[in-house]
Amino acid sequence: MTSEPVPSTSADSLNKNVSAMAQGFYRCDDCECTVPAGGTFACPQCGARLHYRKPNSIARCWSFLAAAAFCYLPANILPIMTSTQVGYRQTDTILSGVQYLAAEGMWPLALLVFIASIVVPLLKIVVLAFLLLAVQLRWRVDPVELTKWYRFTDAIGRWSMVDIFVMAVLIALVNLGSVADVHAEAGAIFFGAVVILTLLAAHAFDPRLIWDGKT
Amino acid sequence: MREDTGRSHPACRSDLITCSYCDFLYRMPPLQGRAEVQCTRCGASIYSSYPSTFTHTLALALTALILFILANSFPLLSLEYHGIHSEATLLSGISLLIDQGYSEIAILVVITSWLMPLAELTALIYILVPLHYGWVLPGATILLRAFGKLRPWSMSEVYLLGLVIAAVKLNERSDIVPGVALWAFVALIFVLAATLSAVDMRRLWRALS
Repeated sequence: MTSEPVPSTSADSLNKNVSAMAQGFYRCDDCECTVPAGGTFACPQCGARLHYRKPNSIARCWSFLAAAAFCYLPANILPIMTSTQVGYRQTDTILSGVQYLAAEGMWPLALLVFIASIVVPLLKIVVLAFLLLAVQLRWRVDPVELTKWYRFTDAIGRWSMVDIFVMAVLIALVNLGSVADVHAEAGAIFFGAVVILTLLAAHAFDPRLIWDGKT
Repeated sequence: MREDTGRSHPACRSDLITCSYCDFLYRMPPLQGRAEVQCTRCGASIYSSYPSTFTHTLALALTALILFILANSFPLLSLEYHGIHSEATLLSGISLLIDQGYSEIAILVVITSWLMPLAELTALIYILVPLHYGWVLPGATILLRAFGKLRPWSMSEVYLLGLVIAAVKLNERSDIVPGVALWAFVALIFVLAATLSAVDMRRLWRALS
């Protein structure tokens, strides 16, 4: 658990601006070794099937994205949970949960939940759709920027799960029989589906496609 | 003690390294100590070398497993509301979610917050304990492959944020008392992060092959 800065090394490129694929090398997805092409379709070190690029990356990514976009609206419109307490009953959507936190003066938390639950999934869908279009239509966009956007969406996606976990903890904790309890609602299923589908979409996309054909 | 010889399988070019983001091919630079190789074309980090022994990684994984067991054995949070008391453990929301008819969400929560971290740790320990004695047990390669692929689905740190948000929300109307397991869980997040950053996949695969 050292926190000292890690020295970074710039590697020496073998052949300027030419991909490993163009030079006849596979990169094994599993053990990360570099294998010269020729005869072998399985990684000699770990046995994984070798691919230059993720198979059907664009089609798989589009299908996960379409499914995620379809679930995004019900996830945000339908209530995700109902809290019952002696005297009152409150049904919350994701947005009304954020409004509640803001109304109680918990601004940083409200902002955090808003970004994680509403902004991040939408941003992921938009960015991945943009990346796919840029690859398919050969848009002239800086590939360094596109790769950065891909890495960013890939890194933040998991934090969208936080609302599902908040709900699970509330249900576990507010379990006081007739006095108070918390119930899940249908929106939570759509919301969970959005999180999973955007994670799968990001995983299906192959960022190396951004660079193919660029010199 | 089986340690890394620095040599890959003869058919793998250990003198080369490829960027997983832009497929740029490099000569492997000589690395000393803890170092990070960055891609000069796309800026991604290609490889972090972790120079300490597999035993060091194993010690971290075992510590994390003990913390995981502790975090599961006691309540994370408890709630006091007009004299009524209730407690939440890592798994207690799950059966309630199933009772409410939302087993899909229960499965999602169980997998991401409980099963995946546990699977990661047990897979690592299953691989690293025999390596310490110079053995490779059957199924080690399958487990290492699964370990590499399942990592995005292990979300303990996100769960911790969920715990904090839920506690703050409820604290307005009731008394929330942190339980023993909460501290174990916080420690688990840090040790788990340290364990995962100490896993050098290139070296582990070389050791198993």
